[in-house]
Amino acid sequence: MSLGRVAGKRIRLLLAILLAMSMVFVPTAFAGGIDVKVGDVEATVYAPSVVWQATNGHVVVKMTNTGSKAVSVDGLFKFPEGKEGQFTYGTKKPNDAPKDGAKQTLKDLKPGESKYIAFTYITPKDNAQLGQYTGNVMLTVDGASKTIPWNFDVRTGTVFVAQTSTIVYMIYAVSVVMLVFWFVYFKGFVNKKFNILAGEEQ
Amino acid sequence: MATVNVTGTDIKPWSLREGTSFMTRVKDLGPGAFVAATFIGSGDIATGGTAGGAFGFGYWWAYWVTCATAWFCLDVVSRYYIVTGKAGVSMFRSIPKIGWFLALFIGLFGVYYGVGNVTSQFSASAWAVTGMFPSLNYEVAGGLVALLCIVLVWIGNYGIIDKVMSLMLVAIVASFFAAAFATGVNLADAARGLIPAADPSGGFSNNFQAIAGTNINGAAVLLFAYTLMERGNLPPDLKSKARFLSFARSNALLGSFGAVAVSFALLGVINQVIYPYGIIPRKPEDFAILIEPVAGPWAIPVFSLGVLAASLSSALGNGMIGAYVTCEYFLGKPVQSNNIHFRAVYIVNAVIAAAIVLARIDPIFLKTITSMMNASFFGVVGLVLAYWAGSNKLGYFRNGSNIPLWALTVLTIVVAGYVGIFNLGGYFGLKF
Repeated sequence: MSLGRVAGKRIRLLLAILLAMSMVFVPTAFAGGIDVKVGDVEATVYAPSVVWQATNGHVVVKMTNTGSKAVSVDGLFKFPEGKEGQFTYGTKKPNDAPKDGAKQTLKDLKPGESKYIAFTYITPKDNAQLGQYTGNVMLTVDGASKTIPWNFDVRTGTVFVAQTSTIVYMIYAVSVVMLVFWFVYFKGFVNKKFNILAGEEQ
Repeated sequence: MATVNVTGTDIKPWSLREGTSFMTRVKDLGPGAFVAATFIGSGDIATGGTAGGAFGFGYWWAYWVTCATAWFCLDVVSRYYIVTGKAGVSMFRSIPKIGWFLALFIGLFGVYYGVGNVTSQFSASAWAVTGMFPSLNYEVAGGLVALLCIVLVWIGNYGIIDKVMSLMLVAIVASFFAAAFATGVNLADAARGLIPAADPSGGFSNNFQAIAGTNINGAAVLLFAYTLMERGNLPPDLKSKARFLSFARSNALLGSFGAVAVSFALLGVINQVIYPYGIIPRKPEDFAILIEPVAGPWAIPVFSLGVLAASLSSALGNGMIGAYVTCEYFLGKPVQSNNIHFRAVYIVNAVIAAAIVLARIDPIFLKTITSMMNASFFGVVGLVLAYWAGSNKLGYFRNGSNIPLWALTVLTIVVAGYVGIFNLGGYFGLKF
């Protein structure tokens, strides 16, 4: 067996080992959350650094109780101060962003247990001012509190037309029109023998 | 008039053992990579988002079932090509009595793919480009993507397009797996997803239709014969035909089950960062935003690259099948990608598709429509392929007494019947 082949096999083996290792190690290497400790609770806040206009953003907080007794955690998401009017919150209307922030409570987080709370559908309006904003989450555990701020950019969003069945019919109609167009093209200029009713003999 | 060349009717089907080595098969995966890159489009992202957002890895079994069906369909297309030397439209036109009607159906299907499907792929590509280059205008991005596809087709060199498609397949797999590794994949959830379970959101029918529509893209199935034909090496005798089939089957395996591999990565991401919070992504940006907090800011361009490669390769592949089918339908014979009419059809369809992109239809919504259209077409395509699988006209390559092939034929009839009745029935006001 040539040296080149042996080297090739080794490279393939090395790549396979790296691939397998990446399954195990890469998740922690790249995780981009903000870690804090509040009382006996270790928390990681996953928040976006970019949100587009009229596009939903979500903030997720993972919490692990490292203490010896069950605890309750209060989470308060505060919209950028004085700029609440630029956002909506949730999916049910009216969905104005609450000035006092959005609350989530996690009750009875047992020792060693990990759970999430999520503030979902935080959406800059389609005319929201572009630029950098600061949001924050305050976590309270047994009287101890910590506020975790972070910055995020609001970028120009792509505003699409309303999703209606008219669009579906428009696409069908365009397809039928194009079939007629190609019929005229081929029948008229390329293959005058074309017969729509002709099958093919076996 | 064409006749079906009955090859080896006097020899027991599948009695020859004309296999090729594993390494030879791996080295010769061109047509399979082409088809896989066409199969895996923006629909996989839209469908994965909806099904995965509702049920995590819960629908992964459906990907395996539909991809097994897709493999079988590619296999039948290969067998038909090996026996007759013909491609897609001929399979429909040569069905007795209703051939002309099925051919008309497939002609419409070709035009729809060339325009409607390509619109959705251009639109998703434009979003992906703006995700990578935020200062670029959506319409300009759409125009650039369309121009790139048009230039590639205008050059008329199949070898170049084949290489571009293979490269894009590598980019799709690499970027989605990078995102999956970064967010972490819950292998236990993936294993549980292999066992069918009831979707608590009650959306089984819609989600299964969408998964079937995405994975058994009737167009990509028919594309396979044309990619084999582009290579121009149809073997003359039965032994080399049998060897050719084993080459085609390896490619079919990549073409169909490539989607399962990508679904593993996509559902892996969704299972980690979307499903736990009951979020159903409704816009492409939702994915980037949801992945970014867990995977880091680099996730946006990497994920966008995957979306771009998936949608761009599908815009090329679906547009090409549209042109192949339209030309074969009207000319009565298949053409290759260097044919002037083929290029004219692709380019005119692509220009119309690019114009529709200017209407700013939501790519995810557009893709949902496309998946449903794929499913509707598959209702007919699947049944025609099942007819050919069981037909004695395929000679040595007929199902014969091969039980696994018959099992796959039945599976194809069931899936095609289910998605076909569900979707086509909807146009006649039937509710299921």
